[in-house]
Amino acid sequence: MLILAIDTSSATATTALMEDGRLLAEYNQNSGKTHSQRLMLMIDDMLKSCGKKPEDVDLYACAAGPGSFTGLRIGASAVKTMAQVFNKPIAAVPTLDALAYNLFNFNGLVCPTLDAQRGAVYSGLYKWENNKLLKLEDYRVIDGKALVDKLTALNQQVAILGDGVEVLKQIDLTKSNILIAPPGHLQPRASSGAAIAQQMQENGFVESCYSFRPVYIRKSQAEVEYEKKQELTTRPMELKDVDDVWEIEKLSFRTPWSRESFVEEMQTNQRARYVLAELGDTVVGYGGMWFIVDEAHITNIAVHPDYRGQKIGEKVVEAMIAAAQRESINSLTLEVRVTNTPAINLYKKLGFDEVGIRKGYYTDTGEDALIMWYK
Amino acid sequence: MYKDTTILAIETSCDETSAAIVRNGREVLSNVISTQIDIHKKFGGVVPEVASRKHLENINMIVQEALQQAGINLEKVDAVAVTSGPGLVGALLIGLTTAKALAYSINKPLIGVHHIEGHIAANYIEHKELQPPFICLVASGGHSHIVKVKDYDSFEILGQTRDDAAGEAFDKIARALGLGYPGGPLIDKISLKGNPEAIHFPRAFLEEGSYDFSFSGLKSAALSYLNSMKMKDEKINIADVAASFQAAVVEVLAEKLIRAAVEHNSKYAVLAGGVAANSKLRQELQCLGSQRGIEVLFPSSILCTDNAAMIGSAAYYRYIRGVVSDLTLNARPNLTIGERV
Repeated sequence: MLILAIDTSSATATTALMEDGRLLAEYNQNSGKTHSQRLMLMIDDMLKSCGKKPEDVDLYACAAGPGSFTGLRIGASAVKTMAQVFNKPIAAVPTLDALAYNLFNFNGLVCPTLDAQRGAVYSGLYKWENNKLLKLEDYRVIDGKALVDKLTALNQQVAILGDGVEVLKQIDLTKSNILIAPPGHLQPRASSGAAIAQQMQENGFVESCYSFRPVYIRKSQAEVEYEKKQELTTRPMELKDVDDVWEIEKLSFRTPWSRESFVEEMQTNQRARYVLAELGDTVVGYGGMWFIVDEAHITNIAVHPDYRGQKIGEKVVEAMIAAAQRESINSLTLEVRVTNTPAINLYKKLGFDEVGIRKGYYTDTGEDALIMWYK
Repeated sequence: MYKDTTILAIETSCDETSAAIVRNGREVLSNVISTQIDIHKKFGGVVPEVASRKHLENINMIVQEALQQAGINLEKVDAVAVTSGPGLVGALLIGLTTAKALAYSINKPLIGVHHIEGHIAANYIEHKELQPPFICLVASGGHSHIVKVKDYDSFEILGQTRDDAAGEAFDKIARALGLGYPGGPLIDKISLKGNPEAIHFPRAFLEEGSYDFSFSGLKSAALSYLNSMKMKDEKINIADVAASFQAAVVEVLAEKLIRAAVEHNSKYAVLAGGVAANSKLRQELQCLGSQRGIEVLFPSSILCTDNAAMIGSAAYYRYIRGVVSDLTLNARPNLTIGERV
């Protein structure tokens, strides 16, 4: 299987060609030239020098964000179009996961960062455990100073990398627990994206040129201003909301429910109750549960990546509790990944207690689930 | 034997995502246009970042539809054309990168096209007999140019706006009147119910013989009229204001275009760009043209908006002259007309 990987999410443009797990070539350029002018030449040169043709590529690996809006789109439109012409799938590789992959089996925490302008960075937090990359925190936009303070407070060794390091360098980085990755590992490398893409394909997480789109995790300023004026409301989900909800589902879970499952939940499952959160008239989050006798079993909760960090999840859960109570159901239960600390903290805050563990509950990673109850 | 030339063209310079298949520069096999107007309405104008995101989401589907509607596959495409400027840089880059990847993948030439040259070429599609040289007024949200089209790839700017573009002036006044966005079509429509002589707004003809435009004085006059009416607490007749404002813009545009055609011995006075869809402008030009013996031409309304067919037409005349671009072609947001793409 031949994978062509591209990442133009930051100041570095990088392309790689990987065949059956063997890296044939990797081109990295961080010279200030525009990606728009360089990208197709890099791809052409790399393919030619490896004796390959564009039609030989079986899978495209594309940086899916977050990162520079324009940079992401240059890579995405090139990949989408090649995938369209040759009718091949695309693996949407999260940029911060791919960056963290640069530091394979690093003995400490890994904090990839990408410049988000105005002193802020996109960042995530990872650790390596048994050769597996574990994501400890969701992707976020964070002020550089706030991130440095946070990392310092962790009190353990953290390696930072990505072009956000330039932003963080403006702040005092002499704290002994923060390390800057060496130049060869510092910037995005398409070979990391290719390796992740291969795993994604093995697990069936690939997309078509029509469905693939970058996840920006940040709105345009005009939208932010507009949404400030909108009100956050909750209401029961209806059949007409299925597409909006399914979109959020796909953006939120590695093994999303199918669109049909949501249709079924709305049309035939008498026990299902779904709640939506809307900002103005945009669906931004949802939660579902099944009423089983006198208990409500929460099936899924998700907030659109563009709207996280605005307490929308909290509003959804509160609305679910209220909806259950309206039908005289006072106990609610859910499972959550043991590593999903932000979600666990949210549930605790809303009155859920930890009552047990389900071993290996999540089939994709083999992770345990924490069982929580609200009574 | 004569061989047909089929061009796949892409246009994403502002808020329309469009792809078209054009044969021999004049025959449109398909022209798919997906407008984002509804998305930008709530912001009162085009938000570049939102436009870029939408272009990326839609572009491949639009290209697919253009091929399907034309009933051809990519093997029949001889070249890929794309608008490389002027326009919103982020928006241009989506079309540009798509076109480059497409041209590269099917191993066919890439042709960068100037957006305004595309607007002019819309007339080649509409009027099969039209050939350069002729005089053309290009008026849209971003441009107000009187251009001498000397040949298919040779242009001379005779005049241009010194401040606001004509379409921009329409948008601003429409906003002040509370009509919404986009302003041009809304003003055109409501003006039908108003009296164009109700208020006399200034006509800026500038110095003797100049083909340049200036709409900022007119804009200020209209805004201060609205202000003074509000101060006096008098009722504003929106239709009258719109009609009077439109009459002032149209009179200057029409007069300068016809004068340019007469002075340059052009048989035709040609209209292009979004403002070319304005019914009053078309009417006024036809009236003036027939008085002065000039034939007035303009494209049908759909070809006045931003669309890829016009890009495919302009590209054809580059293609047959062997003018093609390479994969380093970049977006040029401020490209001026006639400049090498």
